[in-house]
Amino acid sequence: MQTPSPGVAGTRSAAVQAGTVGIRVSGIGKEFRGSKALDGVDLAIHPGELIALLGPSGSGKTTLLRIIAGLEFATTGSVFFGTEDATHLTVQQRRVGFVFQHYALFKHLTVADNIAYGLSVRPRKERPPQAAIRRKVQELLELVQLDGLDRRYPAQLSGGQRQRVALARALAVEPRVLLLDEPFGALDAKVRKDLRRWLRDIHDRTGHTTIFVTHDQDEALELADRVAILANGRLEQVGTPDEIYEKPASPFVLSFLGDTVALPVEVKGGKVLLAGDPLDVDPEGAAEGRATIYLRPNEVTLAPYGTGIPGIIASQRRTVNGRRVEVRVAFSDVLIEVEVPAEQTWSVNDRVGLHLRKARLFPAD
Amino acid sequence: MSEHSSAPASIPADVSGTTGRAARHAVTTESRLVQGVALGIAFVFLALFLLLPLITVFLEAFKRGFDTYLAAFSEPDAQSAIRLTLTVAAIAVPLNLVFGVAASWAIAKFSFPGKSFLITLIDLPFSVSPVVSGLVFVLLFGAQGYFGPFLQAHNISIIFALPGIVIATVFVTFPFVARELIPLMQEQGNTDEEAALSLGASGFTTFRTVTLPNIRWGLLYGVLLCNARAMGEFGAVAVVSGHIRGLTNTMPLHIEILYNEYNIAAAFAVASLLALLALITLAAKSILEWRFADSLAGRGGH
Repeated sequence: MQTPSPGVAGTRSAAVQAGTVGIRVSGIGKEFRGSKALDGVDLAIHPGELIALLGPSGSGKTTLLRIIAGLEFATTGSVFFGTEDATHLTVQQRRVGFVFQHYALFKHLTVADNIAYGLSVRPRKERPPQAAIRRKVQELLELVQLDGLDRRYPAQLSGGQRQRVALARALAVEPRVLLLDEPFGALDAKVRKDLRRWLRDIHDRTGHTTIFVTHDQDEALELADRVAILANGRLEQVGTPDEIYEKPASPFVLSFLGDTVALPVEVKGGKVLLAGDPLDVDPEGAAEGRATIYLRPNEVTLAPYGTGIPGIIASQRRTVNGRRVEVRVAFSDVLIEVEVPAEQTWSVNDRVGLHLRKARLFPAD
Repeated sequence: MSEHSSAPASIPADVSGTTGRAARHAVTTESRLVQGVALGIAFVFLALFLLLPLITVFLEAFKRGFDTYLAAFSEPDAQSAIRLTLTVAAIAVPLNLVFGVAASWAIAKFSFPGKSFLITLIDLPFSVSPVVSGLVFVLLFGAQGYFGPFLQAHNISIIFALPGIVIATVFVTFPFVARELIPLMQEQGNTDEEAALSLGASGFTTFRTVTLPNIRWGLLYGVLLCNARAMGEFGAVAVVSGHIRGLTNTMPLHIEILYNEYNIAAAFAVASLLALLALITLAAKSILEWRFADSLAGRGGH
């Protein structure tokens, strides 16, 4: 993990004016009634970066986001905005833009009043004049492509439109960072995809340091510059989408990012043995003893019998993109699921050779 | 019924036929006879126990003509009773509005030890007989009560005076606003408030600009019910009031006195005014329910 460059500017006021700052959390722990929701999380986010907090439910990703926002406070650890220690700042003092999963729009206010809310509740001295607020609202409506809907009420908007209003409302206060809690979680699949692209676009234009929480692997990989994967309150891995997909740090990361097949193997005398036969896999200095090879179904190819690992077709199913074939490794109980193109047809009990295009070896636990 | 055509052949034809016939009606629909009987019972019951008494009140009130009806209100005791009732409601309802909002806010938005005990406590006035409620205050503030000597020494009268009536009314009507708001606020959760805070609003601004608008219709509804009860409360008020004519008689107490004196026409005339207030409250409540059904969703029944 790289260390981030310090905040855009050295002083607090300059950083605010520059718009956005990097975020660093160190040693964040959070306990809820004795159970640990977060445990020693360290994470550094560069200024202007778009990062995804990815994890299954209960992994602590939303809690981490809320601690960064100041909606919750950590039991241990600190939060830095740029060089400023924000650990004890209130949510108002932190000046973050927060977008909620269920939008949290103010039902009794129009779209325009919702967006203007953050500006119009400022103390009289800091409040921009009415005309400036109106101009800002208009600007933001254009940015989120909702111009003309300013006099509607939230109930008159679709889910996707509501979330765009919520984002405009968060951007109106010129936040130092943008935090989104499962922003597309309540939307249907088609709208989700559109909004993903749209959010990436907005981010590239406004350049806010942005953290978004998601449990959707596709969303995280497609949208984020880097992905931080959490499990059970701990940070499993942080990296670019390519890094976490190609070089997963743990079996958890690997299996969380898609279907995997686990092959029980043995490392013995510098060789990897599957059911007693050596495999063409580099042990890369793995410890002697039992280990597991993890594969993705699309990283195995089937070839005629006699090459690779001998196997027997156990079953095959048609899928949308091709076929899923289950192959039993000869002389063992090990089943490997393989994805093959639709043109390849096999019959049950055919003998085949298995080629592992990529194999990741982890010690057995 | 496409499931049936694609059903495995092993399912006997008569079985799928049976489900097909049953599926034509929703499973919860009863036969017409049962519907009719249930509706009939409900209507007869309502007519007998609710509508008939209401009509009787107005019939009896106007039995001796319109002049007698008006005369009942021109009497000084009646006017003082009306004034007292309005005064009591004007004090008790705003108090309960503040108490109710504070209590439901605390209960819905925070978790603290003793929360479920507090919720149970709020329901106490509903479950305790009003007479007992009244007696409790006599025991506390009466001449022989715990604070009696102190109050007498400082020349403060609570029992048999306005403060006692107000206290008893506040006690009896306390649950209405809180009961209305707790489920509503619990359903709405904290997210809107969190959004406001994250946008820089202070706690009070958030309450004023987000929390209150979110609960306004539920609040108005609770206040209406609270007001109706505050004006109509008899039991608890009867115990603490002392029935001093022209001084501590509220409308319900005045009606009872008139009735006991066989002044039936006057009793029903004043009663008709109370009934009218109740009808107006009901109408306002129905309009609220019809107009703002969505914002009232989540309220528990009474």
